[in-house]
Amino acid sequence: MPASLPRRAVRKARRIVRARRRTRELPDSPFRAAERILSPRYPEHLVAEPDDEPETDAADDAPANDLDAGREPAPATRVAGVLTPSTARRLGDVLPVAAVAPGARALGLRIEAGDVLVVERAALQSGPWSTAETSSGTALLLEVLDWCTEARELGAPVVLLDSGDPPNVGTNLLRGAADVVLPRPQETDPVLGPVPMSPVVSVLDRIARAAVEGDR
Amino acid sequence: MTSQSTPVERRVLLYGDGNINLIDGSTIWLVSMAQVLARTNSHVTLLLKARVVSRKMLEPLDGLDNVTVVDPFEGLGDAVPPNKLLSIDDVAHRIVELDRGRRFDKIIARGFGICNELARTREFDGRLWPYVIDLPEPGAEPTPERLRDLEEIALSAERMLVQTEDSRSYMEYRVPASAGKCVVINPMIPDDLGPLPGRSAPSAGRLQGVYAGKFAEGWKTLELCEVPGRLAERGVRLSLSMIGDKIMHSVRTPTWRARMKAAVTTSPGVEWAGGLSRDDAMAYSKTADIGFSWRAQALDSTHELSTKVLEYCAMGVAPVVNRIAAHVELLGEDYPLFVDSTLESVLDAVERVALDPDLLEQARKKAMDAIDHYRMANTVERIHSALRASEARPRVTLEGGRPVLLVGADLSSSRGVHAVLHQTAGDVRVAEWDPSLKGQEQARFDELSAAGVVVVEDAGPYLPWATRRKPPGQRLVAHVRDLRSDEPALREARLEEIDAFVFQAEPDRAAFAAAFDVPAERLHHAPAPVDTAYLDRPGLPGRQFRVGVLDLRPAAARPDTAVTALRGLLAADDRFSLHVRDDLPWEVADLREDQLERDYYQALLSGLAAEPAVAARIAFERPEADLPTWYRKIGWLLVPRRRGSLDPRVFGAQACGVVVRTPAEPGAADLYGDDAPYDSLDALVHSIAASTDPAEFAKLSAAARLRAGAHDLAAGGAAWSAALTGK
Repeated sequence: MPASLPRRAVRKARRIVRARRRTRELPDSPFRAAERILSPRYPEHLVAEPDDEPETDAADDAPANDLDAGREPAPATRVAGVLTPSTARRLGDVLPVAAVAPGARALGLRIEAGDVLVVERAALQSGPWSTAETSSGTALLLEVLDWCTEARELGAPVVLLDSGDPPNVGTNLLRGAADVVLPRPQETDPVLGPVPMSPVVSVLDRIARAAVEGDR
Repeated sequence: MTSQSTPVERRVLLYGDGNINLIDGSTIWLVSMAQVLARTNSHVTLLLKARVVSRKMLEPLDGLDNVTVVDPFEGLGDAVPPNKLLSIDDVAHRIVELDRGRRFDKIIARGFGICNELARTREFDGRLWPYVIDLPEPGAEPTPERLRDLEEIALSAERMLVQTEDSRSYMEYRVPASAGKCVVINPMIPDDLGPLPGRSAPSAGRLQGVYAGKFAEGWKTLELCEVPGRLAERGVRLSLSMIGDKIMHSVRTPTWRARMKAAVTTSPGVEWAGGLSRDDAMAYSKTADIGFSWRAQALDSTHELSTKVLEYCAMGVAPVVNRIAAHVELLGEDYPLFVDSTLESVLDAVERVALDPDLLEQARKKAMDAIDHYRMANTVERIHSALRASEARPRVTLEGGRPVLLVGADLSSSRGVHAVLHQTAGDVRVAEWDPSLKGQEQARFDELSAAGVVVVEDAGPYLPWATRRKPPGQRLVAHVRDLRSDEPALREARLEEIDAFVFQAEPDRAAFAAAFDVPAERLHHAPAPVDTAYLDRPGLPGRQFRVGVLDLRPAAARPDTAVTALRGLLAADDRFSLHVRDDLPWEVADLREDQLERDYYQALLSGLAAEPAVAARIAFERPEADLPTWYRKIGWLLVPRRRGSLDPRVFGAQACGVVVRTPAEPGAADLYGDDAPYDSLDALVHSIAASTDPAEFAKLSAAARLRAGAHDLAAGGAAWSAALTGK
């Protein structure tokens, strides 16, 4: 933060913004969420802000670098998601993973800010989420959509990993609920060449690409 | 056509909310349905929504002397403009009027609006067969009003028509009152519809294509007009015939209609044939090699199959269709004319078959092989069977013509008993009384006295009370579902006043006969009744890897043992999953303040939290009304030891091909089959893990269906007839 900005005013503005988010529960727009997760710096640009910032005048007197020390890069992004066992294992090698099963909310699992919610279409074809894309599993589909809504409200991006399975009754709804559908065509800057993806998105993209091409 | 010697079995009013002067799915369905019903020995009164301007769509009904077409504006002459349509209110009014004169046995109506209106009149309760195709989609949360209306339709309905097995699943989920009533009719195609005789294969690089139906934005008819021109650039000559005269407006793109009109008349390679009768349209279509049913991606989310696609298949015209699950199921994974919503995918697919006549021939063969199930003769059989099942006459006539009264404190699991009583005696009333009779005795006694036969479901708490108040001439029947829990009340009751005892379990009947001094002719055994025909549905792929549990209460089941079994199964194959279908006890408001029970759940949850890989394979699913649909994906059901009355859901699961496993105990094999009992959890795991081969599992599943036959509604009919009449 530039030293010229009054720290008290900045803190107040942050509190107001956070309070608005809590009370109005405005979901992030799909566009903004997509922008965020597709940034090559994702998740490094996420910062963890302490919930209870000191509001004493003493805090105002703290040096600027102390204030910035309260905004540290998130130690890691967690993937919470509807995942096949193999994808959960693969992602688990590089970052924390919380596989979501039907009813997991009742068991206490919650999306947290900083998570990325990954819904893998391949995971809906068998196992605990089987039938979720079909007419036989409407309750499961609605549960996945609820997870997506919760993630949106918390600003956690929602990523759908496509597969080669033919679209079913719920597929369009899942696509519509996601901020990003992977795999995506490689973006290329006309001057600088291929635009790199962040490590997390890059792994997810590879998994989705393999699923779509039937090379799992 | 019904010959003069065939008696009319029923009078049916048929209405579909479509304009008979236009060719579209709704009018094709309406005319097909009239043909089907005519072949079920029904007299069909077909009420139209519009005055007949063009008879093209009605031609298949010509010569059917048991179909009467009713012009909605008959007798009004030129006072009514030709394009005027009946409103929903008008239609309901006309149906009520027609019913007064003809007293229909069945009212079959298509469309939410008219079905809702008819249900509201209450005039057609128990005769209405609604076909509601416009259910709110899964992503659109229906309003409470809409749900209430749908529930009202289902409550009024005797049966509900649905197009496919998928539609039935969705209907049962959205409208719980529809469970047990849905009849799958399938889209239907004429029996004699086949390929053009003597047709020759096209030469490489040339194709004749056809589109028949309405012109609409989501149906991609505008983009379709580009296809011949774009293919020509690739060296493929496609002549495309467009049949139809219904050009829809587009709310999203106001200019779409004008552009469509221009495109269909001016695009190179496109010939517009205009509107044709269905027969002419088919004759025209038969000359084509490929038929287009290309849709926008937004229309991929469908529970239903297009009749047009099936017609193309029957005519040997290979359909160009979106690759969606329903089409893959119909035509197979490797069907060569699957496309997505992009123009490129269509050009690629058509180019492929145009350049490879063998591939086109394969596509045509796959299409023709796919449609036998949808022939009209099969639909006639399904509908006739459903109609006759609803018209079965009671097996017995009760003396005095007074009704049967089924009494119980909780009749939620007595649906099967109600059904079998209805089949046996016809008029059955239901009385679900508060267990405490204080202050209600006179009212209850009056209710009791009005019945010819009283069937008391479970002895406690009413049986002793009823035996002391039994009016002269009334028969009293005790339905004993669990002797252990009923025994105290049976000892308290005046057994000499009970005319018949019906035991659900044969061992209970034997034990009762040994312990009580009651004449043997008053003791009957009728197995727990299940509507096996309704539950017998095709299983879903991979079900042999899914294990189900219906009860979470530790007092009834042992979910911890299911989790232990899952651990063992996952060690053998990571495709296994456990599906628990019950309310979560810690979310239930009236959870007993039982410390042991709370500790049990705590331990269960802690165990799961410590093993996220196992927890991730467990689905806790809510007990919705669509249980029969849930059975389709479940391969195995873990059933606890018998602790009380038998759970009819277990036999229902068997009827759907679910294989039951239960701890070994005396009588278990008699109840669920010789293979059902297991001696240890290791044995359970081994028996499941060793049967994942689809063919092996299919044998077990077929045996489960066969075993469920012992619980079919008809199986206990004789015992119930004897119990109700004493004969």
